[in-house]
Amino acid sequence: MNNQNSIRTVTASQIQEWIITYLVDELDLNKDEIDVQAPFTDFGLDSSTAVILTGDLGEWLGYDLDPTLLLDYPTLETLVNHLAIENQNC
Amino acid sequence: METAKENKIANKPNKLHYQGASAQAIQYHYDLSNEFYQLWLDTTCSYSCALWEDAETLEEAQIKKLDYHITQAGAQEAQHVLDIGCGWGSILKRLVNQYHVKQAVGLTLSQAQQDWIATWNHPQIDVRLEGWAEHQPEIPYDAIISIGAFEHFANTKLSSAEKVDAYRNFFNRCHEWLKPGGRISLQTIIYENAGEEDVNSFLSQEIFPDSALPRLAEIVQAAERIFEIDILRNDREYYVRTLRAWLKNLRANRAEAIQLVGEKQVAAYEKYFGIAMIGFHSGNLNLSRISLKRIDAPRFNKH
Repeated sequence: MNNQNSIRTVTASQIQEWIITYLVDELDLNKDEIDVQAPFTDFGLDSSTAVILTGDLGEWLGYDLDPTLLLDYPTLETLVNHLAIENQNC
Repeated sequence: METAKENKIANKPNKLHYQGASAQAIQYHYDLSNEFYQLWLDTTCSYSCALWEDAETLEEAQIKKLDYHITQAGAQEAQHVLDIGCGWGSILKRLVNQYHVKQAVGLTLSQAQQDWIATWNHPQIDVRLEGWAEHQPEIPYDAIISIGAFEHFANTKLSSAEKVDAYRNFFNRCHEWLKPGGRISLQTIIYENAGEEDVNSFLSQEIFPDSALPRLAEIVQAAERIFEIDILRNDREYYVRTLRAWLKNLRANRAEAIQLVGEKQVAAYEKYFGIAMIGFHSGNLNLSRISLKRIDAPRFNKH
């Protein structure tokens, strides 16, 4: 969201922790309900939440993320792997 | 062969009951601020899905889109061309400046868009603040283009059958207005793997109130036996790419955008672009470009 932010270097587990915390807060889930291999749609995640999540996650990472990211990486595991590799290459 | 009819359209009383989005609903969206739209649209001010193909920039892709529709409608070097839902005039300008069209008529329900085009004072461009249902041309058109307006031709209160009737009225009008052999080039968002019940309420209430998208079958049914569908292409991934470019431009000009329309509106547009990108990328929505050719002698009473 904010291009002036410096890029944050993070590990896969930090990204995963950020997203889990986000899902717990936004969707009122228990942490142990989140299966990293389950599709995000199983958690009741709709397109509005996906847009806000990618916007906020991008702001935290320091670079813009595409709002369609959760369609191409539809589980926590695939998304975190993708973002961790992308982050290493930043 | 039609003779007298070719040169003049019968002056009928207008009894049509328009069932599309109200002028107020159109102005709610499109009259927000011309300067705001300019911040993130390309230089042609084309506010609809581009045609990327080999294009590298948004502007190149929008020009390809304009040229595609002009060609599909057979509007090159025509005398008299109609653009229904003319936006900020990108097609009108290209028709008269690049394609030697004698007279280009644009219809819009947006006061801001009409004011914008009127400032050009172009003698070959006639922009009118009126919907297609009110339009009564004196002479027939060689070609009709409509890009990103059909989305507003049915309001949200209509059943599917009523939507088909509303679209049928539109195609009947186009049939009356076109010369024999005339064509329409139409571009519209459609429901693909979704229906009205699946549409994001933020989009349907806060961004595009009072407008129900068509299904492809409804368009086909409405045009059946008065227009022949020549070419159909669906380009939903091109809309993802167009929206991505708009989002990037808006973010790059965020401070200025906030000054023009406020932070709440800017955030709403960012959200709208994101949700629409997801809609097209998932295949819930699609983007249809439909080339239609007038059937000059329909074998039944078209009314």
